[in-house]
Amino acid sequence: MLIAVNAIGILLIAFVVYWFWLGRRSHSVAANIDEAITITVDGGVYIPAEIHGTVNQAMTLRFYRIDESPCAQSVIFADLGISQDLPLKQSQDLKITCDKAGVFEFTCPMGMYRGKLIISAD
Amino acid sequence: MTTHHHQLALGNMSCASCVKTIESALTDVPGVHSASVNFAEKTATVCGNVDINALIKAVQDAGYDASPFDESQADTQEQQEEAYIKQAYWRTIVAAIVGVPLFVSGTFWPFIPPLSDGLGRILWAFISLIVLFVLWFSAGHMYKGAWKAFKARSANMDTLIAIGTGSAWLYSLGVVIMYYHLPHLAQHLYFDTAALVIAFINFGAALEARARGKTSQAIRRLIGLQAKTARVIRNGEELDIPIEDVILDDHIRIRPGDKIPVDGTILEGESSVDEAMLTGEPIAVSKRAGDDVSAGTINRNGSFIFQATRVGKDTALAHIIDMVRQAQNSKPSIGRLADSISAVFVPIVLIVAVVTALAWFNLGPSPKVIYMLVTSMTVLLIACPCALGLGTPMAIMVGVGKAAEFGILIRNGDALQTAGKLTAVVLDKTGTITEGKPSVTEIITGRGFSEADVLAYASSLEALSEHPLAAAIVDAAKAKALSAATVTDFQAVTGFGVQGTIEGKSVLVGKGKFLLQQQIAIDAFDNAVTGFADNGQTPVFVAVDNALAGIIGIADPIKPDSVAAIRQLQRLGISVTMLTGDNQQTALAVAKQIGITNVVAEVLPQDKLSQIETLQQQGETVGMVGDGINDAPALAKANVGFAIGAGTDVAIESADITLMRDTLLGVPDAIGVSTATVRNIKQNLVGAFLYNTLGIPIAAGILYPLLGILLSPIFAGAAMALSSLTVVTNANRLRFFRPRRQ
Repeated sequence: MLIAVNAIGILLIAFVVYWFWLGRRSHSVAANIDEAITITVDGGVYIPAEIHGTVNQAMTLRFYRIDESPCAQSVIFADLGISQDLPLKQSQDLKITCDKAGVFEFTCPMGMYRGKLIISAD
Repeated sequence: MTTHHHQLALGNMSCASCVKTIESALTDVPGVHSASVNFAEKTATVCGNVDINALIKAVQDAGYDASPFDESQADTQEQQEEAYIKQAYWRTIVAAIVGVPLFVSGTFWPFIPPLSDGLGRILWAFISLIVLFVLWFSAGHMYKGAWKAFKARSANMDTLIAIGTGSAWLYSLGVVIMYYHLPHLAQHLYFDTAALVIAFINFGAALEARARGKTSQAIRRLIGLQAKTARVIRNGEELDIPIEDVILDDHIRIRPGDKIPVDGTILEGESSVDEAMLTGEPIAVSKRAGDDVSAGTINRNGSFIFQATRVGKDTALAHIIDMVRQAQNSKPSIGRLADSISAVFVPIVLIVAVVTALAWFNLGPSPKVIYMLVTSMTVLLIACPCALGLGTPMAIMVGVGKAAEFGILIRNGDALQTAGKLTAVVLDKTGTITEGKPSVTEIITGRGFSEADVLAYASSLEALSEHPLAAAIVDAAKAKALSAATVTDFQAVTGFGVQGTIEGKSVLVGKGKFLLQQQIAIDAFDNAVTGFADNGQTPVFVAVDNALAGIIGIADPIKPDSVAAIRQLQRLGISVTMLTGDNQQTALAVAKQIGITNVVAEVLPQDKLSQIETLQQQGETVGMVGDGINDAPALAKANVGFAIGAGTDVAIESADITLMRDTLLGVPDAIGVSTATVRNIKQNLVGAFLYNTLGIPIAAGILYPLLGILLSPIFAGAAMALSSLTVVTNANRLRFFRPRRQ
């Protein structure tokens, strides 16, 4: 019993570490020049939470907020100096062109909803 | 080719598969780039160069109804917030109606039969279903959020609440089902805990949303300044049209009391206009033909017609709204630490909860399972990343909004944070300390010349010059109704003056050095020149046919509240330096009048930048105050650049902080807002850190071995709801900020 409970506990901790930090996020989308990428804001997350693009690629991120929480009212790309209000249940387009490669996080003002814009050199 | 976005309201949609059918129908319409249908909202968004009627027909041909989407039907943000708050109150009430009687029965007055009773078991089984209903009705959104976050390999507040309350309900259900198989001490039920925690959290969310709404009052007030219609004159006819339809160069009639709908220039008529909402200036400003007017300001008593020069998103008001909104959502570096902590906070709390359970299992007393459950549940429920995450953005939201109310536009959170740390402020003299409009203050004449002669000669030449002082001489001549004579052989000698021939006479106007170069003696006027300099006036020498005709004294009046503003800065312990292109003597005279001892005179525009660098090398945190155009490099180099008196100009783009009102008092006011906001952020962050770093170990039972204290999960839920509410309420205190006046 002692070993079983402790083993379950340690497995749970390992699972938390793996699932939230080490594992690869399942929702990721590559930006296409012609189409807007719809990012749904729902239940405390951005879906997809990972957007891939390239340097100088003009992207349209179309945020659609279903989440009624006041936390979700705006999205912030802190490193790009962009913030955009997200009206409830309406599409809100955000046009972004990054001139440098890198990982740019986008979050709600509190930093609880998190997503990544991953820009590669080519 | 222009691309349009069309929104359609859809009807007759019965299932999610209709989405695909309608999207295909829409994308088949020539010219459509993309179409997306929202089933929940029954709307379609179509992008492309296409007529909306073709889209409606395509949808109708596919068997559905469609009409243009009326944006006025969409809820405003206030309505959405109200709906959210109302819903949160309902969730609270339902959870409390179930949770309170269960808590009272379990703690004080056991009116519900116990599980050991046959009827009791049936009743508790029924109660478990009622509590399940509460979890669905009052916490369903949290469970859904937790699941979505989990799938996205993310964790948030919902994760903690869902695991905490879910485990309370599951354990209690286990007790109901396996009552006789459990040891006596493990037979406790936690249905009341699950329901009451949900009640507290929803109640906290409602109060928090209400308090949050207040933090964005400033931006809403700015948005509320926008007029909805404009009375335009087209083809001689006056029409009231929505401001979205006003186009450039439209002529717009403004009547007494009207709100000015777009930016423009007055063509005819005059009035006084209240610009307090944009600049904080309480006194209405007189406007006449040729003057600019700004959207959002209010006409007082006169009426006029103006021509639209900036419409839609180009108006100064639209820029201000955009800038305030951007700044409110930006994060100063002080908040970044909290951000990085909240990013990993929830998984860490999950791990702490497991470690707590294991610690109680290995080291705790019996019944181990109860202690494991209670302590780990309390850890999950007391942890509040929201308080950490909310501390900075809420204070920035209120601080930036409050500053905007005083006509101070702050570009971002870092500017707001740094403004309170300034140790040195550099002020450009012209246009910053002074009015920036030099005028003739005194004329001293030589033998045989009258004041009018001197002014007439000088103004005739200066009318052809572009020097800033030239305008003062020309204006003075116009005021005395002196007409300009014809000038021949005009020549401007940069940095010295101008010369030419008027009615056959050789005339020179400029610096003393200019006359000396031409062998014209000026020493007879030495005393007068010294007197001018002592009063802060710049002397302009006038010579006619190689004889000194007179000296014109020109001064730039000091703004009425410059002295008070400089004193306030000095009282804050900030060293104040004045930069000017004037000669040393004139600069010192002005500095004496305003109480500044640090003066750098005869500075060329390009040298301003090096002055800032020098101060920074000396370890100072430097604020530079200038007009935002000529001082752009220095403003950019300074730790905080203040553009003053940019008023409604687009120059608001050029500085960290723009002072809409043409007064230096905006600088100490901005520093005051900054100090108050940063103090508020620190209070919030320290409070949230302390709450979590003390609360979580206590919830884990760290006090139990010594004092026998173990927190109740209900208390933990209430504390958690209260902690984020406290942060938002503290940030809201900034709404009462008032600048200090001494």
